[in-house]
Amino acid sequence: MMGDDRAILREIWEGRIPVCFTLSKDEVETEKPEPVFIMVARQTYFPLVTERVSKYLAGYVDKEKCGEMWLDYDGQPLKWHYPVGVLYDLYGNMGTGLPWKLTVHFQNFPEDELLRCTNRDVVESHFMSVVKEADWLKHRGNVINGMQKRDHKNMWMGLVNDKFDQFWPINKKLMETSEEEGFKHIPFRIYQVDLPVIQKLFRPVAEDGQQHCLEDLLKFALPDLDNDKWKVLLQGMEVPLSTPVHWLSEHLSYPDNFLHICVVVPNSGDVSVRW
Amino acid sequence: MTFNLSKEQCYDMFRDLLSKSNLHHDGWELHEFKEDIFLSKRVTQTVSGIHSEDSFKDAEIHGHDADYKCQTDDSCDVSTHLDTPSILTFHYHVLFSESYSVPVLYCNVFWPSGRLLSLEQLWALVPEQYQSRMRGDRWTFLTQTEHPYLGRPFFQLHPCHTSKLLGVVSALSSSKCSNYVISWLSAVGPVVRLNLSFQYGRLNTNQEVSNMSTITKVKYGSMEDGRDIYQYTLKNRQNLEARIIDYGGRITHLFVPDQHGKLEDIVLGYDSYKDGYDKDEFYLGALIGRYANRIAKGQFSLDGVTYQLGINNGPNTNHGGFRGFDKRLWGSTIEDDKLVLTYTSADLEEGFPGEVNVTVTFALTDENELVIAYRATTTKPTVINLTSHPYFNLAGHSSGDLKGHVIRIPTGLHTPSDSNQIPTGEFDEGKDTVLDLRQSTEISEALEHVPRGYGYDHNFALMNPGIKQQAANVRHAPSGRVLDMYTTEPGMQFYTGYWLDIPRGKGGAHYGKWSGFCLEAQKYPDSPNKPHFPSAVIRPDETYQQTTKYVFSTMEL
Repeated sequence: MMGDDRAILREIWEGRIPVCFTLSKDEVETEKPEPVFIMVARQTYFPLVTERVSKYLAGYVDKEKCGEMWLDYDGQPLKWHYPVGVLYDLYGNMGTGLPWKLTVHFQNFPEDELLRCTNRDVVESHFMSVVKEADWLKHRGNVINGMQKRDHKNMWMGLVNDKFDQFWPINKKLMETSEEEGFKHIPFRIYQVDLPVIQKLFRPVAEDGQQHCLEDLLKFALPDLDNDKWKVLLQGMEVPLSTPVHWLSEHLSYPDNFLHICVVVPNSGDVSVRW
Repeated sequence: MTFNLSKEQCYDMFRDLLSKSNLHHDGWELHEFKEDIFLSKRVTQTVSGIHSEDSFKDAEIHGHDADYKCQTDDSCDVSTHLDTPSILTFHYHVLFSESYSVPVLYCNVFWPSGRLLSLEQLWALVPEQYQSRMRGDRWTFLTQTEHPYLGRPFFQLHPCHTSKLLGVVSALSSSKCSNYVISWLSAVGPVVRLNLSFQYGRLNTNQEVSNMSTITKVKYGSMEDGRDIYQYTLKNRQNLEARIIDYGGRITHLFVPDQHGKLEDIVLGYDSYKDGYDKDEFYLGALIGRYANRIAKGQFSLDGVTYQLGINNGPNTNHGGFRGFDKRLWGSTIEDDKLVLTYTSADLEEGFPGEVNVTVTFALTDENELVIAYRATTTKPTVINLTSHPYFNLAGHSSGDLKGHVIRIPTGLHTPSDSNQIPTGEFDEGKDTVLDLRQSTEISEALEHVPRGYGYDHNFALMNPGIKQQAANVRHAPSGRVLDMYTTEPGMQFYTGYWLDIPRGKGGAHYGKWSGFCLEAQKYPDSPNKPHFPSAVIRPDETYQQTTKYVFSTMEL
């Protein structure tokens, strides 16, 4: 792997979003708590970084009614099982400025929209199952199944503790290709607000041997997409549509090894920014 | 062996399942989602043995589980909650996963109020045999996830093992046009209480179900005095087969499938009565009594009377004396599909007081459980401690060693013993040694490190004995075979066969040192002389009862 490409991996890993957590007004019991400001990694999951926020804000809520914590942005419940960066690209990148202002709830958990998350094991289980699915797509499951449990645990702990150097030596194996063939399929999911997630089988190479690029993927998955009316965000960036998808999968995937692509309405007067 | 379906094949099988469902009004529906299809079904079931919704709702809000709350609130009546049946609505969806090229089962379960059951509540619904097998895999076996089409939370039986399961199904299938979705759903559906009618199979094959649970009796040999010995073969629908003779209640064969479905006999034994059972010194496969394990100096006192037993093991009595239950010809009958062995032990037989009437029942369930239930009554106060002494080797009885066997014994406590194997009366957790088996341990690697050099021959003190409490788990990765043991007894002897020396076992196999292992449910050794150990005394108005289960399964992945 070239040095520049490694620098890209590092920079993706270190992407941050400034978030402000405010307790829902409806749930404040007596004294109103101060908001909490955190720089949250794009690559992680909210439950992993909100444990202390939860303890702090729960202290201001009626004990009798205090249940599992959940978050919303402008009325939209946030699915914790999407990486933070995906949630921000999808909902937060709407031009209301920073920090990203989220509302914290401890009551009326919307169980028909959000997965329950009672502890870190749930997040780990979800994360590993997505990694496993990605490897099935890329290598028929052979790499992940060939690893020891210790390696799975190191990947997970690297993510939890935000340690690039713990995560990537293991993840590198999942990004490996033999000389003769690349990934069998590209693990990707395409998100649009209020529409089902799109996930299909897509090969990195055309039958004529030509490398597929991001534009080919979008045309395949969203044949009716009008590029002038939508903005395509990957890791918070508008990536050139000519970029080969195999390279994107190796470098711009989230830690779960999926390309999470957000197709959103562009803001008027939008200037492309990176976080 | 893995097996994958194309989307087209899978959707054809969905449509086939739908047409069969329509034929006998089983309620499946087919839904379209863009270019995809999926099956769905709603079922209302009355379920017992689950906490009521109100109990869980209250516990949930307080962030405690119901059991914890019940411990602190005297007004909470656990038994009442457990006995209240609940009417639950199950939604099942069957989708095709392009990533794994297999069908996937999703479900949600609702309280009458329309609220969702949580994962913990759903786990309480999973039938016990699946829970015990998957406990270690709990977080990856059944999880809440986002429904790929509906975008809502659903519980999913994880698809990563389905490919292998379909491989087994397709290999075993005799028909060339099997609907693998029906076969797969019949296998995995029961985990979440989805049970396909046998009608689906019948429509497909037009044959009667060929595998039935059976028990058959054949003559096996004769005692020196001319009495006949019979062998009983118990076989279940999964082709698990146990053969038991009424001489000593011995398990002579136990054929268990490996992960490819191949059957292998995994208990040590002799070819016939005259080839070894008549002179056996190693208790191969036998029922043991009156008192399993050792009694110091063959002496104990009961109600002020001292009894002297035959000394047959160094300075002590072992396994009931010179002619214990392992060397007796038991009465035998078939009741339903169970083998019932009976034996009346005379007052002062081998020195033990009281005439004791013993009944031992062997049953083989369709969940691959070998269940041994013991009962005994006495005419005078006496001590009793019964067990079964099969030597297992999950690689096959003739394997010759225990390589590849990994054992876990959840209790941390064992009872240390002196140089004659008599307990000192203490309890030890063997922390940081090979005697702490709470973590999975490769048996053959640990043997050399067990103090005294004989390998394992230790009584483990089970903390909460009960038929649902796992006493031991042994797995053998090369074959994929798994043995779980459950018992109501307070102790379990784990013995790795150091003293075995049998030149000609079954089929000419040689059984030497460390070629098989035993998991013997028991009272503790020398309990009659250790008042603080669980009591082995029974009196004329009491009944001795024990149930022990050996459960066989295979590893996945």
